[in-house]
This record gives sequence, C-alpha cells and structure tokens, in this order.
Amino acid sequence: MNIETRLTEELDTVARALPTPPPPAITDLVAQAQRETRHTLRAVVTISGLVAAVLLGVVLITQLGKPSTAPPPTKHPTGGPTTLQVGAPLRTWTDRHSKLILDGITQAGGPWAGAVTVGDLTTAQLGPYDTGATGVFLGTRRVGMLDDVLVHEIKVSPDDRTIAWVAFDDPSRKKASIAVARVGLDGIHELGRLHVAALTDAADDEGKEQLIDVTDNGTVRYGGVVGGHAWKPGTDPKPADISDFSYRPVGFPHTDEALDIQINQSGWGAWDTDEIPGEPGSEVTFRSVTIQHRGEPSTRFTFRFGDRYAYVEFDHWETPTDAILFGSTTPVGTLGPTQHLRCDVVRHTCQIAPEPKAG
Amino acid sequence: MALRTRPVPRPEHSTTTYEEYVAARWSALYRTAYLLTGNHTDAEDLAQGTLVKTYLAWDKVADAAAPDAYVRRIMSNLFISSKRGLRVARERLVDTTPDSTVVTEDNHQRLMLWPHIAALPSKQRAVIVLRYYEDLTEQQIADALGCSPGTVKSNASLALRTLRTKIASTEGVLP
Repeated sequence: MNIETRLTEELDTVARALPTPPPPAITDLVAQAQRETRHTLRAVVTISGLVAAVLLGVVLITQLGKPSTAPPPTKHPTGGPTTLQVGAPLRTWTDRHSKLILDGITQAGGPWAGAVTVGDLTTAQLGPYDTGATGVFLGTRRVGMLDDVLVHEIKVSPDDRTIAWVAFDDPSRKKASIAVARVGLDGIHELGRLHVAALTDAADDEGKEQLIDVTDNGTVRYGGVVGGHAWKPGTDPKPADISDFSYRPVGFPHTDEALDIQINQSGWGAWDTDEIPGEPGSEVTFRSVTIQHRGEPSTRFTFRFGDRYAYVEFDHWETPTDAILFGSTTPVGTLGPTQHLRCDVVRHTCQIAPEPKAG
Repeated sequence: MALRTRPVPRPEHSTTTYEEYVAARWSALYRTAYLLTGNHTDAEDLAQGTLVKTYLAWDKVADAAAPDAYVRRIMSNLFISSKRGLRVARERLVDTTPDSTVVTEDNHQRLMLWPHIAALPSKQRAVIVLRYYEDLTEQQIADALGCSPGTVKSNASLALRTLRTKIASTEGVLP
C-alpha cells in the first residue's frame, strides 16, 4: 500500500470514528456573527497630535479642578434616555458587502474587514484575509498598505501617527517580528523591526508574548506572563513593567462585571454592566454600559435605557469622549432591530448613530 | 457589519436557507475541521467559526455555483490564518464537560500516519486533508486555499516527504 492510499484510509477511519456533536443553534451562530462584525470596528480618539494632547490636558485639568462637573454615579442610577435623537452616521463602517466607509466616503477596493479608527488613522484588512494585507488610511485617504500583518491588531500611538504591528518574517509564519512605522500623508515610513521568537503560535505556552502598545516615538511594549520588554527602533530591548496590561487596569473598579474594560487613549474606560440572568452555557448579556475616567470614581456613570433594548453593549470609542454602544431590541442571537448609540461620556447624553450607506 | 438587522437571506434562485445548510452540512464540516485541527475543541470552534463567516457571506455562498467550495475556502482560510480565533463572547459556566472521546485505542494502533499529520504545518495539513479526505483536485485545493496549483503541489510534496520520513523508522519506507 502506498502512502497516498494509506492517507486516504487513515483520514477516512478517523473521520468515521468521530462522535459528531450536535450542530450549534442558529441563534448562537447569528449572535457570534453579530459580535464578530461589531468587534472588528473599534475607534478611539478623533483629534490628532498636539491637539489631542492639549484636549486631554484640558479634560483632565477641568475634571481635577472641578470634580463636581461630572455627575456622581448615583445621580442617574435608573432610567435614561428613552427618546433618542438621530445623530451623525458612524464614522467608520464596513457594510454587508465589505465596502469600507470612512467619514461618509466609500473607499476603493475590497473586500475590507476589521476596520479600526484611532484618531484619524484607520487600518483595515484587505481580503482574502489570510494574506496579511492591511490598508492604512489617514482621514479618508489611503496612504499605504502593509503586506505582512500576522496579528490583525495594529497598535497606534497616542498621536495616531506611529503604528506597530506583529509581522510575519517568512511565508510559513513561524517567525515574526515587531515592526514600527510612522504614517504620514506621503506614506508609511518604517522605523525598524525586532525579531521576537515568542510572538508566534509556535510559542504556544506561558512563554508566548504579544505586542502591547506603542508610543509616539516608536517605543513598543511587548511581553507575556513571564515578563515585559520595551524596545525603541535603533536600540536594544529592555525589561519593562507591563503589570497594567497583565493584570487589571489601574484606576478602575475591580469587580466581576468590570472584567473587560475598554480604555481609550484619553483615559476613559467603558464596560458592560447589569448582567441579564440566563441559562448556564448561554451568552452573557447586559442591560447597561458604565463609563469612568481613569482614577476618578466620581466620573463613573451608567448609561441605562429602560425597556428600549433587550440588551446593550459597549462597542467602541469613536472620539475621546464619545462611546459607541450597541443596542438590540430582541435577545442575543435573534434578528430584531438593532441600533448603534453615540453616548457623550461628559454630558451623559446619547443619540442614535445610523449606519452609513456606501456611495 | 450591517447584517444584524437583516433576516437570513433567501435568494430567489436558492432553495436552501442558511438554517437548512447548517443542519445538512454540520457533520461534514465538523469532520473536516477535526482532521485539520486534531482535537474536538478546536474542531468545534473551527466548524462554528466557519458557519459564522458563512452566515456573514450567505448572499455569496447561496449565489455560488458550488456553495460547499465557498465554505471550504472559508474554513481553510480560517484554519490557516487564524489560530487565535475569533473574539469569544463571555459564556456562563456549565456543570458538565463536553464529550472528549476521540479515536478509539483500537483505531489508534492502526493509525500510523495520523499522529504525524497533526504535526504538519497548517498549510501542508490543509492540503493533505483536502486532497486525501475531501478528494479535491489540485485546482480545487488551490481555490480553497487561495493559492496557485504550484503551491498546492509543493506543499503536498513537502508533506508527503515529511510523512514518509516520520514513518520510515517504524514501518520501513513506503513508496
């Protein structure tokens, strides 16, 4: 018997011997599809460079100087906006045909997926999605393409002009590097690369490391459970403290609900609250979203919507102070009407953010 | 991303709904996923992830001349490119563990190549499974993997060479 015949027989034997589990519920698949599409779109910070820094400073100083400007968390413990006005469309959107729409402008090419906007810098995967091709946009203009992205989570610096990503070194993707670049209207200018063996799936144990963040000057932090490192292109890696990444973020409540706090670059965090009771094994859903500025419990506020939605989730940060929430009028996994909500974390107001249409 | 408000599409010329497709193809998808991943947990994740992406692309899948080929491509891409998988929603804890029965001991003793297939690089493994389990042609595999037939040929060649080397010491050289 030759090896090809034997392969056919063995694979068939294994497949026939398999106890096949029951198919997943359609509602679970739909729910996952909803989550996948939603979580591919996250945005943070709208104002770039010094303007962002100045704004951050103003926000912090204002809040530190006048803590009473932010209503205490108990001020609106229940209820919330039941009549919502319709505001501007979402800034970043990938529609059902995988068209990418940035600030109302439909981008050329596609299919696009996983669009993430930080400030005015957007990255989006270009299909087919296993090639590592990723478009980089400033505002509505595509300024370049990355062709070696291994982990589809591009890190963006606070000034949203420096990016860092995990790049595969060879077609087998068994070797990977951290790549750092500055982005301008004239293109993507790579600052350097650092090979890190522990970045790939081959290091699938406690030694595995991941890229954590990047600063404006190109210094990246990376690491895992065994420790952290910092590296700036042109220098050698050094040990670094990554405890804020490894454990719970500093300056936010340590509760069972606040396990997944989405913190933007201006220090506002958001997490889902008011868990809805459900059956064991079912997906956990929530009725509200709570926000707080790092280290300032007095800024904590919970957006509640009464009976308007069956469940509500935080979706992404659209600006330093605008959180995009997702509300569904029917339980998770069903196909009822849904809406995105743009909620101002300073004013405590919400409006409906419609899905933009491709032009 | 705009799918959450729409019902499951039912193209006029398609007689199969998404629900019907899932019911009809789940077992086959799961088996292929198991051969690709080598364990039940990852197989279930891969098969389920494939169906999630199938849902998102259902217009195209239903319109395709060969929906299975389209779905196979989704699964292959998902397997090769995304071992990290999708972001998983929080789930409530359950009291019982899922059945983890794999291949029986009796079968295992007769399986000489299977343990080594699991150790192949993902693309080589996908080529082997699609060629020798799904019985696809090189062109069909190339379509499923989004690569050229030449790449399929070279991956198959590398995989076969590896498998021959692995078993040479235990059972002599296979042709």
